Amino acid sequence: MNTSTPEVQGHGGTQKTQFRQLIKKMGSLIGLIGLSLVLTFASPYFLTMDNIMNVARQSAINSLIAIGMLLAILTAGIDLSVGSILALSTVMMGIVVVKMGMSPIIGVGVCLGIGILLGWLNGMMLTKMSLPHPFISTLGTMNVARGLALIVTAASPISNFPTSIQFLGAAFIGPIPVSFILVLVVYAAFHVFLNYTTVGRYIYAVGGNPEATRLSGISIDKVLIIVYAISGLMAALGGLVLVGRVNSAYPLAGLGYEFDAIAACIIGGASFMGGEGTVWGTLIGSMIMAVLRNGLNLLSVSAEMQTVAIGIVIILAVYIDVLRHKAAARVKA
Amino acid sequence: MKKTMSLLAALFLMVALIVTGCGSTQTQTQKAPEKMKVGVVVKALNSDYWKIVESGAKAAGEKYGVEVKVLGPNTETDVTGQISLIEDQVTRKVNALVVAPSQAASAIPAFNRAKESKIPVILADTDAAWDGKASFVGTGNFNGGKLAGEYFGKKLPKGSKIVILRGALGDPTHDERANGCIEGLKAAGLEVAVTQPANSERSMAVTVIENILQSKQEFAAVFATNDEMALGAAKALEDAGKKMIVVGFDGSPDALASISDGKLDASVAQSPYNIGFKSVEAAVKIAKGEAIEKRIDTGTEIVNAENVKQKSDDLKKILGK
Amino acid sequence: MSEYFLSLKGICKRFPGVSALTDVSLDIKNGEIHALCGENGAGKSTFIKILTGVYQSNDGEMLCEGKVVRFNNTQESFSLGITAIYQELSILPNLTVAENIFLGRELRIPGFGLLDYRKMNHLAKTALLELGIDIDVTKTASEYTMGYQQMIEIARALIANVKLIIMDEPTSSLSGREVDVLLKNIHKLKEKGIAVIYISHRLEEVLAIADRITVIRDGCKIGTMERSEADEEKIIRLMVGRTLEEKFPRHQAQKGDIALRVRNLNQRGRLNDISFDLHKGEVIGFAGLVGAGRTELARAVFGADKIDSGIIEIFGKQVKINSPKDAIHHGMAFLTEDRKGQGLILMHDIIVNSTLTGLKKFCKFGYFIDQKMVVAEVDEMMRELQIHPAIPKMTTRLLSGGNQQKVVIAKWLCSKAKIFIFDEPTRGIDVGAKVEVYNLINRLVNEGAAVIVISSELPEVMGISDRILVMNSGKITGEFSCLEVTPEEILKAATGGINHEYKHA
Repeated sequence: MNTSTPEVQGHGGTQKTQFRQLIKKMGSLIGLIGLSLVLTFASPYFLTMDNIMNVARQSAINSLIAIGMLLAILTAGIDLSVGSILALSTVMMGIVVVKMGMSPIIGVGVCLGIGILLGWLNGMMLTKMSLPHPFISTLGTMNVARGLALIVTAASPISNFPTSIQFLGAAFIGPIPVSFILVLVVYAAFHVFLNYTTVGRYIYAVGGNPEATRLSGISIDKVLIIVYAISGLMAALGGLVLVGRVNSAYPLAGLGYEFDAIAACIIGGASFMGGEGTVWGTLIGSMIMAVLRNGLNLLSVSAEMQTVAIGIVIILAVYIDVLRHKAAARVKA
Repeated sequence: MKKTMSLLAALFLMVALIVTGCGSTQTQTQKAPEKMKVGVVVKALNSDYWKIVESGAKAAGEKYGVEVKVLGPNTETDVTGQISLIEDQVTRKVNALVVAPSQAASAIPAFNRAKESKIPVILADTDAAWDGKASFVGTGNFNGGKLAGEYFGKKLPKGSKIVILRGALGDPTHDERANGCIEGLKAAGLEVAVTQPANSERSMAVTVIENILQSKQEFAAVFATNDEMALGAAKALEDAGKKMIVVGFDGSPDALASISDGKLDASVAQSPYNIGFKSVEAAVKIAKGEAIEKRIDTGTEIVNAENVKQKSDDLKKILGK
Repeated sequence: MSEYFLSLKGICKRFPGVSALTDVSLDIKNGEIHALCGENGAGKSTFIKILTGVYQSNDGEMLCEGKVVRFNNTQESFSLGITAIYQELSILPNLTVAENIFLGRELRIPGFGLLDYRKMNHLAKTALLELGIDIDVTKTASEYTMGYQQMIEIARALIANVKLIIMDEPTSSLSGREVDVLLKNIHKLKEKGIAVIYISHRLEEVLAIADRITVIRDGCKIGTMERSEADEEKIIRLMVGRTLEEKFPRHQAQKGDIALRVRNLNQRGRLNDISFDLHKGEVIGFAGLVGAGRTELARAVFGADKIDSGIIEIFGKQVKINSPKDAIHHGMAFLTEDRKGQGLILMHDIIVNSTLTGLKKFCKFGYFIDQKMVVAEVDEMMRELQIHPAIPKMTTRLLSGGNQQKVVIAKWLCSKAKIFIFDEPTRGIDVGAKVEVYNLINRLVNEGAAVIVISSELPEVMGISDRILVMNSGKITGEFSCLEVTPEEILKAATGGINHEYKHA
């Protein structure tokens, strides 16, 4: 994950800035490596091929959702509905495929289609209905989608999906889980999307300064609608992996996933004020959470303690961010 | 920048502390590698019920001289969290695994992984349709619910109406308990007034009962699919000045105390201690290569004013340790 | 005890790269009305902020009632009886009138600690009655107009027994009748021995109430005079100062076809029947007071705000402009007055900011940005515009004001705009960088662009424009050629008839 090499040497006065930017990009990676080192010493099972693949699989769902969440956070927004979108899109797939016996291809189409549709609705409510903050629109969708998922399933899980649908979540290529390969492919695509396409750049711009962006001739509404539609799509894709992993779709799936996804973005260096955050940082953030949970599981630390640990990591990660900003402000003054 | 670095250092220190704090037992096991390891993964560790299962499992571990680790996610709805726990126990290469699956069908891929790693899996409390299991240890929530239904039949005249409070929609345990109760009621000639979810919470149960009272619906008794909700229902009825039969499920310490005080009428007790103890016992046996039964029953019974004294003494002994 | 309440000696204030005040000395007598006049950017605001402790001076000393003082914050100045009432009132609309008056100094019932509303309401009522205002002090402040809210602020100062009230453009949002009431009350304050520093663009008000008048320009005090020695001509001459030629380089372009034609543009409450033509190779300057509607006009033409009616033609073709996107599509560029808030994404680097508008032209296969092309173009622009430091990855937050403005200009150069609207292009930029910006504007015009410059600095408007349009209350009230106009004529057009024109508000 060579996210960055020192780009411009020789600008004597700015080497410090360069170094700072390097730390900014590498900070969470250093955290991940350090954490892994500690766990390697603490548990003989941690640094084994088996377990690394374990972590890769355990992080996959959150990684997929988090990359969608990153887009929302980059625009200074938030998407609280991802967990519920995941649930509704997967149970609808279950109904289409398992109960109605349609082809898995249609099922996958329904799943991803519902994800995009709900995300698009989030975006429309935010922009066209002028709801004041995405917190509102996505909070609404979160409840509506969860309720619908409970209604259409009569609150019971749907199991026994065909193996073709389980492929993403359950299959391996050699020793490597397909879900992790999917994550890497998706992240590479998002890296290109955010850095090398106009819409990607506009997403950063909207979060950085919406008024300046609008006055630069960019349709903010369009950008936001795309952002939330993609976030919904990624939630549905995460759901597809979840279905493979647990061999069932259930209406309470994804409960609280929005917070894990937000945490991954934030630990990965994304700013809640918008405009700042990277694809690879988010992957590292998601990995840090998975490694922390996995390591503490291996050490048989209780779930309560794990929750405390993750909470502390989030606060520390953001606090480091705050200190960084203060340091930058001092340079300016 | 110094400050950032010192913060990173503090972060490592914190992790290291957590790690060493729990690592003490870890080092012991490393010194005595021949000691057998049994991993117990329950639905959550946030209620008395699972704490009692835990103490039963630990007691069995002590008796047989094996290391028993009891783990569970934060909430019973965290299905994937529980699956990660199971996977990590497989990685830890435990000799046998005891699992109370939150959602039976969902855990099957994880069970299959354990089986591939030649780790026998015992299901506890909640059964799953999985052929690979070594045994199922428990009572069946359906039977417990049915017992409650029959209990109402003895206490109330035919045609009486019962309110059922259940846990979160979609939770199969509560499905089974509620359905069992409905069957028991029907057999005894009673009727269900309404079934409402109260998410296994005491405060939500209070609200739900208050609302039902407001609606002037007629009912003669309340069945709750866990004790927390039963206690909430009893509280709401007491506040409204109504005296009614309320039956809970689980036989938790709070419920027993309330039965002693004459507030709660009864609770269906599953013997969670036995579930913990007997499942670990079975795990040890199968890890040693001994044969075990495919189905181990731990029994259910109604606890009410008649036998509450003895039950709570037993419980105090268990939890007091 | 001296006759002076406040004496300032040799006050200097420097900001990074800019000297805002140089060696300003001023005395305020007890109970006098002292008017402060100067153009925008002359240093009046900085001066007030030093008096009230918002800023601290770099040099010089301040004596309050004969004792040397130094204010580190507004509380310290307030405790000695100095307070300021700003253009934007600091009334909390959701609190009652009495609560506002006693904000921060609430009265309590002795021994209980509970608020003594009865007493507060009574005292508030009395204070307002003294000002000739009879309103219900238990209603929320939001129920009263700006004029009343200002009286509430004055009442607040009375209750606190202040000795000096500084009023910064107090009449800018008042109706004619409200202005009369205010001026009457300022006289009442004087009778109570309270000194007032009065700042206003409206010279007739200044001449109506001031005892003494001080003019400052470019951060220096030009002179203090008694009311009897002053007249409007004299004040304006002192405010505007010497000649302009050397500061403002001229462009060489020939006037061409009409680039932008605006006809009968209306926006309710803001713009009233605006029409003008802008030619290729021409610079039009828009002069006027703050709030005259110039920025509103720019935003309306650029599609940033909706218009109610009007026709816009670009290069002879009538166009519909509903959003900035449309305007940019037709070759317009808008450099906003608020560079940091609306022009730049401060947290992002020079590359991102300078290519934001023209990003589409770097795309290959329709969607993918060719980074090499982007970097090459940005490198070239940075050389051309002489942006320092020339580091493409530098976050724009760290650049100086002048270089930030150059990045904004780069953004619009990159979009291939033909019609440029500059709103206060040199605000907050030091003198050297100003000339660079003027040169850039001239370069654009020489290359065939059409330019509108909105500026509140008269010398600037006169120095770089070919024609000057003056606005007042959302209307164009004067048109001048730069060759024959005097500052006095512009100021007259900008202030003329202002009191009768404010019907609403």
